[in-house]
Amino acid sequence: MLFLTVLVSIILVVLIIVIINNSYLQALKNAQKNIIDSLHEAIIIVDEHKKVVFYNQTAEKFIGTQTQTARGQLVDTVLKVTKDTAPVPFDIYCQSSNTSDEKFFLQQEGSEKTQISIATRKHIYGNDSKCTLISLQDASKERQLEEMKVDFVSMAAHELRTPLTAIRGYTSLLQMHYATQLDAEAKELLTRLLVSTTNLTNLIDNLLSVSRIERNNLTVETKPFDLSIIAKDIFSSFQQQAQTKKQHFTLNLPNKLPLVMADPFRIGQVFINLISNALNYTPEGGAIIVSIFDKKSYLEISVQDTGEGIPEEALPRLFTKFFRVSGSLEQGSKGTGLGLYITKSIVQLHNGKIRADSKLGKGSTFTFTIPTATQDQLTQDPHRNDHAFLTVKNGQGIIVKKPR
Amino acid sequence: MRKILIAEDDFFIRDIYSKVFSLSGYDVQVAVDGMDALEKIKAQPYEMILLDIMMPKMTGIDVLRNVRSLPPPAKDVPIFVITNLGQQNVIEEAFKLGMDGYILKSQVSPQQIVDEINNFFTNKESTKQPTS
Repeated sequence: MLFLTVLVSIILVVLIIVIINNSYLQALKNAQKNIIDSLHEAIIIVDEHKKVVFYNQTAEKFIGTQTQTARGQLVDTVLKVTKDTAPVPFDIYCQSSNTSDEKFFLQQEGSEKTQISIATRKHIYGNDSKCTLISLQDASKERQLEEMKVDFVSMAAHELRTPLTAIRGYTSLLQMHYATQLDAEAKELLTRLLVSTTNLTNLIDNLLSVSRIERNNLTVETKPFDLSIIAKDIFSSFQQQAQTKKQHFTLNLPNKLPLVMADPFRIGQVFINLISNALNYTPEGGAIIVSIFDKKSYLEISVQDTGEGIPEEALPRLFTKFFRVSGSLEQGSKGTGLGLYITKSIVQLHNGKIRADSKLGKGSTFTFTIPTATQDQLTQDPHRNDHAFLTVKNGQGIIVKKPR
Repeated sequence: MRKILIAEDDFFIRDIYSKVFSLSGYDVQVAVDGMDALEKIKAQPYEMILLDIMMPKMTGIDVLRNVRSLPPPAKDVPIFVITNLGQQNVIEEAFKLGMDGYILKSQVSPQQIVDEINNFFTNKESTKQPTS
């Protein structure tokens, strides 16, 4: 009798535990589903054969395909990701989405495309350990905000430029033509005023270039031209600055260079940015070597200095916006952290590459490539005898002259 | 004294350029917009026109186009475009319309512009001499 009571009790307890446990698991599963469905991100899980195995509610709304339809299909037929207008397959964005800030778009059924950000990660789903979890986010609001920011910067910079030109103009007028009426101290103050306004002008010009880059508005008008002309012109404009710091400043050019297919004005900016950096970050008595190498299908240009160098950990971020090597601010060197970002963008718009190699205390080398003009481009270009030339004054002024 | 017309709508910039060119020995006249510039060019001869692009009533590009279609000698006046616009397409268009030079005003000091114009006249005279 006692034995029977104990047995029944045990069975009851086990049953109760099983029931509670089951309903608990059920509740947990429901909660989990609710959480996943209420996420702002669309969540899609694909198996190793790139077939959709899971699809949350946000994905249904965002992509416009029902879970039942999506499940079992190849991910590329459900999720149409594009970059510019070209479709980007799963294999590609799976590799690049977590690291790059590339702009991907989602092409939805019967509506316009939306800018998205994608993240992917390896995932275990059920017994399948080779799944991939894709999470998508609508980035169109961020993009709108980004555009507003760029518009604002661009407008502010434009509006600042006119009064600033006036301030600079009057200052240099005072310095050039009324200096006899000023004492030594006033002249010194005037020089400082001019240096500061010049820095401000450069900053504003850089901001405008950045806002053009970010709106994809920075145009390069390529034409075949002789890069050595611009290199020599810019080289000689910096010679005085190098002499005042007793720097050995040399330009190495091959005897004959093929014409490059590039925008002379923009390439001039690249030369100016790299050379002025090299001069600024190289101490007195150091050396700066600018070399151009003929690599047949492209030219390789290097700007090498024996300056303070760049710490290894700073190299990957060197070409990003507003990045400045830590410590350079304290050392009193001027700069906005925009020059190299603009430089890289210009080189990339020419389908060229740029990289920096550096050793702390030894110096840095910046190398970029510019494609040479093909035979077709040489024969097609109607302006081939009509080059616009650049004149550079003191390493910053740019005057374009028509040769007579 | 060389007679020069400065067409620029911003009061301060116009003032700076007139001062610096006067101080450098030029006979300076000013125009406050594109229409004003074209009327003055039609009315009397100049040896040089400095032309802003973004001006009310008529843009510098339109002034350039109009001047180049005037009867000689007015159409052959040297024209330097002075602007803040850095866009290549504006430069290209102005080149096609026959401008003689292009200066980005935010990039250079007023004195550099004067130097540039002085150079222009020196070069012009030196190329003229051997032929005459």
